[in-house]
Amino acid sequence: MSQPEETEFSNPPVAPGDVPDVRDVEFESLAPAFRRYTLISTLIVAAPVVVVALVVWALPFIPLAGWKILLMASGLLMPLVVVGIYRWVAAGYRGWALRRHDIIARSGVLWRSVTTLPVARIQHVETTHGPLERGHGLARLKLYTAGGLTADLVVIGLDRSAADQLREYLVEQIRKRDAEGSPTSDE
Amino acid sequence: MSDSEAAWKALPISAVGALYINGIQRFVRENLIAFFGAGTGFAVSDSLGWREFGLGAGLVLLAGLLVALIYHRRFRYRVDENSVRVRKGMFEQQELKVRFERVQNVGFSQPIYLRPLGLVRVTLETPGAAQTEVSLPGIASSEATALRDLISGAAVRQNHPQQAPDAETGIPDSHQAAFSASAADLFKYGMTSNQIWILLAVFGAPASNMVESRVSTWIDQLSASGLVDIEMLTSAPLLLAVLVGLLILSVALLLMVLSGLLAIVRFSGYRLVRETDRFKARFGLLDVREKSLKLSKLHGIETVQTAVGRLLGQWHAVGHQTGAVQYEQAINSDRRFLIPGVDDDCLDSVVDTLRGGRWEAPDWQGVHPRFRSMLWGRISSVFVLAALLLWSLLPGNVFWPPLAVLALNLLILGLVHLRWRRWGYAVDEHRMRIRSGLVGQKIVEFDLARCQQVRIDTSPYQRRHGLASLNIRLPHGEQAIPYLPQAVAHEIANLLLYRAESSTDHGL
Repeated sequence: MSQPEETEFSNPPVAPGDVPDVRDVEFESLAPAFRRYTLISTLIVAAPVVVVALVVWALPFIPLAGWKILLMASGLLMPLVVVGIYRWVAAGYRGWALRRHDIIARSGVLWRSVTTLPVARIQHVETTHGPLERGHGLARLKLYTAGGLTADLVVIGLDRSAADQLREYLVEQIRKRDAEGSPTSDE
Repeated sequence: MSDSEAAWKALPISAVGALYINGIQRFVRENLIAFFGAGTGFAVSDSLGWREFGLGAGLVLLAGLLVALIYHRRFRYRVDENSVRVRKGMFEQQELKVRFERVQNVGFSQPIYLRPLGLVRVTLETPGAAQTEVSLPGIASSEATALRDLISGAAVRQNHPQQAPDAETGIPDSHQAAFSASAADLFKYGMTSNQIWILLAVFGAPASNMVESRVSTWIDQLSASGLVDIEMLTSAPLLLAVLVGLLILSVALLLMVLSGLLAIVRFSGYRLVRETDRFKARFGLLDVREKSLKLSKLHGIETVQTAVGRLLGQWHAVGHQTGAVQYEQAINSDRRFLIPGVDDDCLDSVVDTLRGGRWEAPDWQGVHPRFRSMLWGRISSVFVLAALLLWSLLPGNVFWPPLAVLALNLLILGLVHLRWRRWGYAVDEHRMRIRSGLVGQKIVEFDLARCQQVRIDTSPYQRRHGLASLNIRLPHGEQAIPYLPQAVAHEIANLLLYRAESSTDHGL
């Protein structure tokens, strides 16, 4: 690939020590309401199972002993409880950080991942919030790059105002970048 | 420019025929399975004869003509200073506008039925989704070349007004083919390419029914003729196995030859040319195609050697542009910039051409042996457990089923070893390449500054041993290197980010 740009600006080699290190980053933790949000959203998923179990239990003509129904329902609920606990714990491990040139998100308890997205590669930014997130004052930030069909990086559990600020900041960065760049390199 | 209606042009009237044939082709291709079903239905059913079939087909053809006429009537396009606009739509009007800078690939296609009319089908590919790309189904070829030059010329004028032809790289900038594939090369490409599996998938199911009925009648005839004693065959399992093996082998060979011939037809006379600001590839026997890809839109070079290709020393290369991978891997996707039939000797020069110069790549670095030992351990434990279970559960404590399971295990361990040995990467200050594969191999090479996202994953096992997996998102898809020492993974990630962020080239 020839990049004609390389002849126009200097790009001296850097010593390995001079390259900024992702590991030095201090992560911001998520909004405190996020834990409660994960708990409630898990409960909402679990609610239908509980309701069905209660209805079945109350119906007189079901030829099953009450304890069997309870056993089956709890068998269905157990995975949900585990998921709920995992999400509660994982909420503490999630974090995000904004550097001058990129945005970093961290997630996972057992299988951890750290994702870094250069601001220069962002095509568009979006904040969304569902009704439950709205109730907790939360929002999620979606970042899209070129070529992908879905969002490339989603930072969940942000404070609404923080999410809006971040979005505005990133949009400003993109605008500046596009203004600086030649008119041919906007997309 | 004025938005006067006069600037909107209709397609030439001769293009109706092209639209018609194209539409029918697409209709058949998209409903291939339905056609097979209908065909079988007609063949089986007594009440439906050829007359009904002809009537149905005639109706479809007539409706197609009507659609083509309406499409032609509604289709308008205009070429402005720096954009192309297209208006189309049967019932609702759709207007698409593509700015020239956005175009990464201009594709020409001239099927055999367009040649006497002097028409060319033009496709303008943009980084977006497939449905937003603009295609002009048939315009005069002189107009098409003018449009192509306008599009690539627009980029040159705006971006680098003083750029001279690439003199220092020593690569011929025009006229002379950087690579051309002979019919033999193409035949070998067809034999080795994975399109065999596509052929098998498309024709396999209907063909197998036919073969089955044929073979069973053959067997009946053979045993009736007394030439071969079927009874003897069933009593000699080894002979039967050899016969079945030969049958499979001959079918595979037949498919390979078929695939080779198809490749010759599709890519006949392949020529790759590097011009000042674009690559041009021309190929095709029945459908002459030309693709021109802007240099600045080429994001990665992929070279692939399939398992069979390894025997023949045969590669093919793909120039990656921005776009979701799913389109690139679609069956017979026309969106990829494919260079078929590259043999071992030409490989370096082809890659140099795509890259625009030589690159002294550092040595390959492998991934950590724990990648192999972890997979070995996990797979073996599952298989040993399965073997033990089989042994204890099967009545009479027979030996061979658990042994077969263990043999399969050994085979898989061997494959894991091959996979591990194949993984590799080479990185220097500016470029990187990643190799993966099993028996064959795939090498993806890219400029570090092209990276779009970097992800470092660690599992509990990896953390215990100070390892991490690196995932690099490029404009055309994701590349992974598993099981690197954590320090190395972070070092590469940092370098990638540094290059991407300090690059002034945001363009895609």
